[in-house]
This record gives sequence, structure tokens and C-alpha cells, in this order.
Amino acid sequence: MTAARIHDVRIVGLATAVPDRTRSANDEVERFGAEEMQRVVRNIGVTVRTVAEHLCTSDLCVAAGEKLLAELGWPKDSIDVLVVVTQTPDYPSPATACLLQHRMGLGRGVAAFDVNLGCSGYTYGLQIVASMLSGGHLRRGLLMAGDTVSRAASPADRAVVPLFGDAGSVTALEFSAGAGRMTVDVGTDGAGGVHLHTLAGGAKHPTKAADLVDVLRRDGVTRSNQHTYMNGAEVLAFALQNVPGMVKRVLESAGWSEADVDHYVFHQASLFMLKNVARSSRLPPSKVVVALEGYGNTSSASIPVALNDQLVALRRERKRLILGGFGIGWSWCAIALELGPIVMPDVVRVPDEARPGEFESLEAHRHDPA
Amino acid sequence: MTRQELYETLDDILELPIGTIQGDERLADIKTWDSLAVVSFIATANGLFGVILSPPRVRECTSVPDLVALVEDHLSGGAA
Repeated sequence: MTAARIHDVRIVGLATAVPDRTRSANDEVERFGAEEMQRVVRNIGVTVRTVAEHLCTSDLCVAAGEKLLAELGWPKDSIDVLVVVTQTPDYPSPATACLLQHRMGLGRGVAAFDVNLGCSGYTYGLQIVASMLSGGHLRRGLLMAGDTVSRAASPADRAVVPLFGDAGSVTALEFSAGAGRMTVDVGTDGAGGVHLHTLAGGAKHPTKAADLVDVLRRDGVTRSNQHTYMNGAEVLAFALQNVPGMVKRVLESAGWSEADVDHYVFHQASLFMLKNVARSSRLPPSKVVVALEGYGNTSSASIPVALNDQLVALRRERKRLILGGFGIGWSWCAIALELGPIVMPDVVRVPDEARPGEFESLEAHRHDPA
Repeated sequence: MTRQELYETLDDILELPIGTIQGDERLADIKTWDSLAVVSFIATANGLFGVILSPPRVRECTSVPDLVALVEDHLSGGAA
């Protein structure tokens, strides 16, 4: 568990974007049954979620980014850092951040790279961008955090299908001498990697034809090797073991008591998880932000979506917040900070239409039909 | 917490009418004993007793007495 303090950086704006396509719990009744879906909805707290059939994470982040830069009035060549946090990049290579530097029309002097994290990714990303800016040599940075995790869910997996939604976000940070500090608590336990993962598509398990086939597994779920596997009981045990300590440490490092905090904004894992995280951390439920309805669990975008959806007062007020990401890895990162007033447009709804990729039309990828 | 109160807690987790669980049931006979119930049982045990049950150990349980024994084992410090 590493604690850090980052000075002289402020968050000036935040925007989020979601597909205009939604799916409801009723849409899943035919597959899982009405009674079962009622149980699931009571547990996860999601009846409607945003889903992308065509849009990629990059499309959602660009929509959010264009909106935010316009409202901030930031020239595109004033950006020095672009970090994209996602587990659903456009291509295995190159980094989506490189493609978005070009697509967004940012300057060539920008430092751009991807970070492969999910549930903890937003707070990790904030720490990374803020650390890069805090020296003052780099002045402005964008953190784009988002995922289209619904596309990685097996349609037959009751544990993930009704829960996962899709969203993208952008957070604008800049160097500002004397700005308040961020206090960070961060950690990793890779022993938990096995409990939430995707098997195929990397160097250990390159995708073969057989990996695309849906097969009934011994856990009773039909999925392919490209679908997300999640062991919900292990996720809960991990959260109960680690989140209370993470919250306690970041409060102590910040010199805050629980009463000093206005809101706790955790990764929106599920309603059940948030209730248990609040209970086990001894937090007042009224201070724990819940923003699952209408979105679902949007992975690395869930904290900015929660800020945008539930804490609109940040447009005019300053709040003391604990942001807490935890999950896939296992990985966790909490940040104590004072936030606001910030520029925060309404959530952008993006038409779920296919946008041609950069590389598909390349001569090298074209071939004559056999 | 008495044994009877624990059974009533299980009724709640399993979404059964209070008084259904008598203490000798096989979990395979309870339709709502599934992955949702497993996580609810782990969370409830944590809330009531402050223990974090091992998910594989919970899944190994085949009966209500197994679940009760697992909790009691944790409370007595015997479980890993």
C-alpha cells in the first residue's frame, strides 16, 4: 500500500458520454426468466443500462472530449498529456491514446499512452496525469477513461449481462501552483487476477477459431474464451478484505476524519457491492454515491459517470471527496481531494452508429475473395 | 445469535418464508441457493460476525449444517 501526495494540480473539468442505446432488465427476461431478473435487479440496482453495439470506447471518449474542450475553451495544442485508461482499446496495437491524439487534433508534443486497468483505472489515471503535471513542466493533461464492457459479456452470463454498461469520460487537469493536494493510496494483489479476466486475445492465449465458440463451462455458464469471466463471490471477498483499509489509510494520510468528507464516490461495481463496502468501511450510506441506474457498471468510467450524474453541485461548489476504485487485477486506488467548482456539461448521448476504423481500409488488409 | 436466528437469516438470504429452514436441508434442494445466494451469505456473515468466508469453502458446503459449521469454525478461529 503506497501513499502519495500530489501538489499543484487541479481538476478543471469533467465530461462523460454514453451510447444512446439502452437495454433494460425486461430485455433479459426471455433468457433468464422474470423471477430471476427481479432477484438480480434487487441485488445489482440496475434496471436500465447504456450499451454500445457499434461504438467503441474511443468514440465515447472523443465525444466527451470535444464537448469538454469546447466548454473549457482550451486550444487543442495546449494539451501536454493524454492518458487513455481502458480495457477495450480500438486495436491490440497501437495504443488508443496515439490514435486519439491524431483524431482529436492534439499537438504532436503531447505525451500519449494507454493504461490497461478497469475498476481502479479512473483513480489510477488521475494519479498518473496529476503526477506528470505536478512538476510544472507539463501544464495541461487529459485523462480519458472508459470501456465498452457490455460487448465482452457472454449473453448467457447472468452475473455480468444485466450489470455491465458502456461509457467514456474525459477529465481535464492543469498545473496550478498552490492548488490543493491529492492524497493517494494505491495497491495491487495480482493473485486475484484469475477471478476476473478475459482468457483469449493476448500473447499467452492468442485467439484461435475455437476461442470464438460459446461452450457450456463447468460453472454452468455458456461463454467463449473472448468473454469476460467474473467470480462474483471472490470479487466481494476481495472488496471486504481491502476497501475498508484503503479508505482508512487515505483518510489518515489526508489528515481527515470521516466527518470531513462530503461524499464517497466508489467504482460503481453494483448496488450490493456498494452497500457492503459502505457497511464494512463504517461509512454513512447517505454519503456513498450510487449512480448505477441508467448506466450499469461502466468499468473505468463509473466514477466520472457517478460524479457527472449525481454531483452536479460540483459545477458551483467545492466538495471534499474520497474517490475509490477497486477490482480487476486485483487493483485498488483511492484519492482524497477537494473538487470544484468545475466545468461539467450534461452527460453526452452518442448515437450508437458504426464509425469506420483507421486501419480496415488499408491496402495491406484488403484481399480478393477466394 | 441463536441457531434459530441464523436459520431465519438464511431464509432471508434464500428469499424463503421465515421458518422454512429447519437446519437439516440439503442445499441442492433449495432452488435459490445459487451464485447470488453465495455472495449474500458471505456478505451477511461479514456483517453479522465480522468474518470473511472463503468463497471456495462456501461452495463446498452441501447442506445447511455445513454452512453453520463453516461460520462456527471461523468464529472459533479454526478456519483458514
